[in-house]
Amino acid sequence: MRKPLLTIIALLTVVSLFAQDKTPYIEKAAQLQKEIWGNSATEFKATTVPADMSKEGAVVLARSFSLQRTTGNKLKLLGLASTVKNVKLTTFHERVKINDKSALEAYSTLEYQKKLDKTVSLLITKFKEVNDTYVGAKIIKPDGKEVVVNSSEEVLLKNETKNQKGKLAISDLQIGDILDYYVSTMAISEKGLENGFTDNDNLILLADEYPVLYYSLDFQFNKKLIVKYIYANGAPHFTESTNSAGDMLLSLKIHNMAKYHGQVWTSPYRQYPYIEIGSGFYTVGAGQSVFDRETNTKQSRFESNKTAFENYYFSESPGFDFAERKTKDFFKSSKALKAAPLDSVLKVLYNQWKFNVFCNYDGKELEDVGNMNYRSVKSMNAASDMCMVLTDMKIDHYVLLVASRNGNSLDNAYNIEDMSAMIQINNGAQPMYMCFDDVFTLFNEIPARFQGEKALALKPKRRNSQSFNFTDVGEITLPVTAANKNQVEEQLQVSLVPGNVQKLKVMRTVKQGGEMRRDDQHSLVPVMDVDAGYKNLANGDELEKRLSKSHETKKMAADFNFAFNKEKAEMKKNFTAEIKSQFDQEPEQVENFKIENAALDNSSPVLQYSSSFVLTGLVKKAGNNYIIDAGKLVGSFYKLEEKDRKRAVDVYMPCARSFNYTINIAIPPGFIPKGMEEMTRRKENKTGSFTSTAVVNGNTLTITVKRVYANNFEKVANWPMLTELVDMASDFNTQKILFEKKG
Amino acid sequence: MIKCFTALCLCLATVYCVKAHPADSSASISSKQSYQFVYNAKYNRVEVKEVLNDVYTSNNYAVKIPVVEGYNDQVTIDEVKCKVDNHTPDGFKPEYSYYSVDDVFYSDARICYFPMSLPKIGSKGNVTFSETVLDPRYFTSVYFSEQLPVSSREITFIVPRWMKVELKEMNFNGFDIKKNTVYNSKDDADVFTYTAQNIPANKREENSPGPSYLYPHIMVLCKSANTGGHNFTYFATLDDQYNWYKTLVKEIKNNDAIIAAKAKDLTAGHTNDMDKIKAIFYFVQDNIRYIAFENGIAGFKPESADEVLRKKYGDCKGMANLTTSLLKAQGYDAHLCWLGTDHIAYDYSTPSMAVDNHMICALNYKSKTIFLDATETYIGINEYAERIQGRQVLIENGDKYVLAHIPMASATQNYDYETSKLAVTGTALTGSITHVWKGEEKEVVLAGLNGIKKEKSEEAFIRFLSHDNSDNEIKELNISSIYNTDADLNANYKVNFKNAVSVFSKAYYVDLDTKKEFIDAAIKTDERKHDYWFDYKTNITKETELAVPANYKVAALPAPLNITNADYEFHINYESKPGKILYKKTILIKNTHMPVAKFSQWNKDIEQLAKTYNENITLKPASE
Repeated sequence: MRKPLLTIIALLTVVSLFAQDKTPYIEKAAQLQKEIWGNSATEFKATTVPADMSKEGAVVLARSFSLQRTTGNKLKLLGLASTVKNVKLTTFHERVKINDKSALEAYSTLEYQKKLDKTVSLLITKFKEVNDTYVGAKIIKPDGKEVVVNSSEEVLLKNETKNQKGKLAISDLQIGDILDYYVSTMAISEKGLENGFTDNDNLILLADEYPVLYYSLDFQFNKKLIVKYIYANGAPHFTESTNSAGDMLLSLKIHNMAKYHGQVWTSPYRQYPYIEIGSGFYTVGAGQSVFDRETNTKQSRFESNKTAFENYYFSESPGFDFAERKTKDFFKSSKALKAAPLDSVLKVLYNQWKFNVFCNYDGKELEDVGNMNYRSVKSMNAASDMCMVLTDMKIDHYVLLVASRNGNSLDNAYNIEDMSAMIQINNGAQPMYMCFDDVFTLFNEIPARFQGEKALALKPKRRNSQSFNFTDVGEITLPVTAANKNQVEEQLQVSLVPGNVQKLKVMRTVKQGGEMRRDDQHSLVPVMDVDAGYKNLANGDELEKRLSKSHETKKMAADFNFAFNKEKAEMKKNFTAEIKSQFDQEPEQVENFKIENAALDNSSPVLQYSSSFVLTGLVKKAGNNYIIDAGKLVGSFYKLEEKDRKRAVDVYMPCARSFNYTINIAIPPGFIPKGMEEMTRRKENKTGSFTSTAVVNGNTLTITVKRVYANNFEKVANWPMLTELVDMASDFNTQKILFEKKG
Repeated sequence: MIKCFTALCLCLATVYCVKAHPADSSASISSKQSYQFVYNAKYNRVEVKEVLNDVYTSNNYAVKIPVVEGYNDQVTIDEVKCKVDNHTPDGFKPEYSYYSVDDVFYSDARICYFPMSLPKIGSKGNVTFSETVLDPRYFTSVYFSEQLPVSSREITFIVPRWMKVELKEMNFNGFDIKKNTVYNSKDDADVFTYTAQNIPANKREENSPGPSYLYPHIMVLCKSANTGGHNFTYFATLDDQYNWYKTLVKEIKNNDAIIAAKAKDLTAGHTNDMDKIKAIFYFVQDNIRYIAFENGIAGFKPESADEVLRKKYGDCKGMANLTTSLLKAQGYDAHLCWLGTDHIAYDYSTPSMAVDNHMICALNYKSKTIFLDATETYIGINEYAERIQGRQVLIENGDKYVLAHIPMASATQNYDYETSKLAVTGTALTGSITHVWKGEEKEVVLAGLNGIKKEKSEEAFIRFLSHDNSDNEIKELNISSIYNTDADLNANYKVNFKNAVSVFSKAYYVDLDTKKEFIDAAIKTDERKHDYWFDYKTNITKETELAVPANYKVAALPAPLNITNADYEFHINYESKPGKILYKKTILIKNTHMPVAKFSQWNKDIEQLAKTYNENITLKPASE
C-alpha cells in the first residue's frame, strides 16, 4: 500500500511546485530532481540483473511513466473573456543496466526541447503557451558509487530566448554501469487549443526491445476532464481511485514485461498488449475537433467517433454530387441510366468519382510527379459524399466503418484516424463495395488490409438537405478475396546468350491481379497513362481543358505535359528496379519494356507488362556441361529463418494469393537436359499448395510452378503446415538443371 | 568509421561544403562572386567581405531549390536577397538553424536556408548572400562547381597590396577557366578575376575521393597583412600554422596528478614497456566514446586529458591528448600531431586550416615513431587505417615541429585467411573451417559485432560467416574474444553448405567457393564519373581441401585464373591430388586508388573472375 501512496504524493508535490510558476528554471530542475530520485519506487534502487539475462545488451531494471493533467476555464481580458488553461506534466523515468556497446551508444545522449514559448499577447492580456523540459541522469558504477551527470554540460542546438533545444552527452557512462535518468516535461497552455482527445492521447505498448523488470504507469486527471482508455490484447488494468480533490488516479505496476520478438507476418497492434489512454476537456470552442467533442461520456472512444462521423460529415457541400451528374451525362438519358444494370451504373459512378478526385489537379502535383501514383483519399469524406449521392440515386446501401488488420481493431479505434469508411451496396446475396483508397483501387474491390475484418454497418436516411439519420444495422464481416483473384502469372522465355553462355537472355511477361498488382502498378504505370486511362473511362475532358478550368492551373498545360513526359521517360529505370527486386541482381540489357494493360478498370483488372533482359550468375560451367540455376528464375521465395520456426502468435498474411510460373528454356543444340524429375514436386494442405513440374518438349524445357497461400490469416496451430509450403518453395529456388554435352 | 574533426570543413569559409541542391539538371547556375579583403578598424582585424550572387535558371517546371548557405562563429551572413523572375517571393523568410553533421555531437556550424520555387522553364531565381569572414585564416577555398551545373561563374578576389595572399589553382585541368589580373590604383588593390564556363554538377558517388581532389577550386592561402598600423600574421609559413596550433595546445590545462594516477593504475603489473604502452592505448580505445565537439575554437583545441578521462567521451583531439598525456605521465616520448586524412588532397606544403582534419598521438619508441589513433576502435598497435596511411603528419615538438609521414601498410596488414577441409555429403559440403582476420579486415568484423546487441552478436556473426545464406549452416562456432584488439580475430566452426553440390546421374558437380568475393564488383562505367577508392587494401586467401568421395574420380576441374598487375591480383587454382582436390584463391588489392582509366580493364578482369567462380568441379564414379 505504501508504494502507490508515495507516487501520488510525489505527483501532488510536483503540481504544487509548478503552481508557483515563477521559480527559475535551474531551481525547478533541482527541485524536480529531488522529487523524482527521492520518491521513486524501491524497484528504482535495484542494482542486480537476474542471471538468465546476463546475455542481454541492456536490461531495464525499472521504468515509470506518469502524466498529470489539469484543465479548466480561466478568465482573461480583465474578466471579459474566458479561455481554457491546460497544465500537463509528464515524467519518464528509467533505470537501465548497460551491458554492451550497442546499448552504450543508444543511451549515451539525450536530446530534448528544453524550452518552447509560444505565448501571445492580445491587448493587455497574455495567452500563455510554454513547454519546459527537465532532464536528469546519474550513473551507478558496479561498485555502487553514484555519479550525477552534470546537466550543465548540455549544449544548445537552438538557443533563442523562447526556443531552446538541448543535447546532453552522458559523461562517464561505461559498459557495466547502471544509468538512471528521467525526462520531465511541463506544458502550460492558455490558448484553448488542443484540449481534446486527439492531442492528449498516449499509447503504451507493453512489450519492449529489452527486458523490463518493473514498469509503473500513473495518471492523474482533474475532475473537469473526461478520461477514456482502452485495454487492448489482454493488457492489464489500472487500479482506479479518486483523491480528495476529486481527481481521477489511475495506476498500474507491471513486473517482468515481455520482450517484443519481431517475426514475419504479424500485426503487433492485434497481438501485443497495449493501453491507450487520453483525456478531453469540453466546452464550446475549447479547441477540440468534432471527433473529440464527447456527446456521451459513457460512450467508448469508437462510439464517440462514430457519432461524430454521423453528425458532422454528412452535409452537402458544393460539388459533392459531381460524380452523380457526370454519371447521368455518361448515360446520356435518364432512360438509359434507368435501363442500365446496377453494377454498370455503379462502375461508371465510381470511375467518375475517381476521375474527379485524382485527375483534377491544383499544380502542386508537379513538385513530386513520381508520387502521384501513391495519392490516396480520405475515406470518411469520400464515403459521406458517395453516401449522399447514392441516397439521391435511391440506391440501397450501408456506410461501413472498418479498421485495418495491420493496426488496431475496430473496437479499439481511439481516434478517427484509426478507422476508415466505405460503402456496401445492398444487392441481395451479392453485395458490392465502394472503397475509397488510392489511385488504382477498382470498383467492388476491397483493399487487402480490410478483408475479413468486422465492420459496423450504418444505414443512412436523409433527414433534410443538410443532415442524415443513421441506423446501426450491426456488424458484418467483409469478404476475403480468394487466392486465385490475387494472382501472379509469369511467362519466361529463356535462352543462353550466344557468345557468353554463362548469361541468360530472358523475355518475361507478367500478369498480376487483385492485391498482387498493387506494388508494380504504383511503380511501373506512368502517371500520363493513368490520367489518359481515367479520362477515357469517364468520357472526361482533355487534360488541357481540365487545367484551364482552375485559376491555379489554367496556364500550366505545358508544365503538366512536360512533367508527365519526363516521368514516362523513366520507365526503363522503374522496370530495371522491378527486375532487380525479383531476381536479386542488376539486370543487363533491359529492353522492350512495356505496360500491356494498366488495369485501371474492372473490365480488365489484370495488370500486364513485359520486358526483356539478361541475367548473370545463373549458369555454372562444369567441364563441357552447363548447370542452370533454374529454380531462381521464379525469383527469390521467402526463406524462413530458424527463429521463425517457433511461433506463438497467429499469422497475418498480407492476403490470400497464388503464383503461376511458366518458364520455357531453349535447350542448346548438342546438349541433353537432366534433373527434371527433381524439379517435380507437390505439397498441399489446408493453408495452400506448391506444385512444380519440368518436362521437355522438343528443344524446349518447360518448368511450371504453382504456389498458393489459401488464406490471409492462419491460426498459429496451422503454422507448421504453412512452413511446409514455405520450405518447399524456398527449396525449389535451389533446384538446377544440367545441360549435358552429348557424346 | 571516419572519426576526425569532420565539421572542420564547415567551420571554414568554403563554398563547396555548405550548399545543397537537388543532384540533377533541373536548373543551372550562372554566378558572380566577389571576395574583398578589408580592414575593420573597430575590431582591428582584417575581414573578408563576400558577395555571392547566383542566378538559377530552371530547366523544368515547378522546380524547388533548397537554397542553403553555411555560416559559423567565424563567418556571418549579413544580408540575404532573393528574387524569382524579378519579384521577391511571397513570405520570403530565410531560416537560420543548427546544422547537424554525422558523427559530430555538436558544432558551431549553422545554416541559413529557404526553399525557392522556379515555376516555369526559364524562370530565374536570383539569390545574393552578403557575408563576412571575421578571420582570414578561416577563408580557405572557393569552388567553381555546385550540385547543379554551372553555366558560368565569375570569381573575383580584391586583394589590397597590404594583404599577402596566394591563390592556388587546384584541379583546373580539363575545365574552361580563365584568369585576368588588373591593378586598381584607386584602392591600391590587385583584382584577380577567374571566369569559368560550363562546369558540370558535382556528383556524389560512394568510394570516391574527397571534393578537393575532384572539383576545380582556388585554395586561398592567407599569409599576412600590414594595415591600420598593424602587422597581422596568418599562415605565411608552416611555422605560423604550427605556432597557432601550439598556442591552442598551451592553453590546455591538464590535471597532471589525475593523469599520472590513471597512467600508473593502467600500467600496474606491467614491466615491459610495450605492454604498458598497449595498456594505455587500448584503454583509451575501449573506454572513451567518440563524441565530436567542433564548437568555435574547440574545433581546433583539444579538451584537457583529465576531462576526457572523466567524461569517458571525446573527439579525436581529446582522445589524442589523453593518449599522449597518459604516455607522457609514464615517461614515454609522446607527442600530439595533426594530419589530414586521405579525404583531403592537400599537405603541409600549403599551410592552411584546410590541410588537416584529424589529430592523433605520435610515440617515439626505440628509434621508431609509432602513431596511435584511438578513434580507430578495433585496430591494433602498429596497424594503420587506410585513411591515414602515407599521410603527412605535423608532430608537436616544442618550439619546432617535426614533419613526418604515417607509414604505408601493405595488403598483408589486412589479412583474411580461411582454411577448410570439406567433403561431399549428398548435395551438401560438410567439414570444418578456421578463419583469421587481421588489420582492417578485423576492424570491420569487430565493429559490426560490437555495433549490435549482445544477445544478437553470435547470430550476426553466423550470418556474416554464411554470407547471409541460410543454406550455409554454421555450427560449433568458437571465436576468440571480440573485445581484444591486440590479437588477431580467430574463428573455427563446422559447416554444412547445403546445395553446394548438384547431383545428376551419379555425377557430382561441386561449387566449392560459397563466398565468391568481388563477383559483383564490376563498375558501371556508363554511370560512374569519379575514380574508385577501395576502403582498404585487401588480402584474401582461401585454401580448401576437398575429399574426393570413395570410388569417385575427378572428371573436370575449372581452369586456373591468374591476373596480376600493379594494382591487384586474382589467383584461383584447383589441383587434383590423390583422393583430394586442393583449391587456393588469393585476392589482393594492392592499390586502393583506381582511376577511371582503369575501370575497363578492371571490369574485364572481374568478368574473368566471375567466369571462374561460375565453374564447378565435376566428380564422376570411377567406373565411368
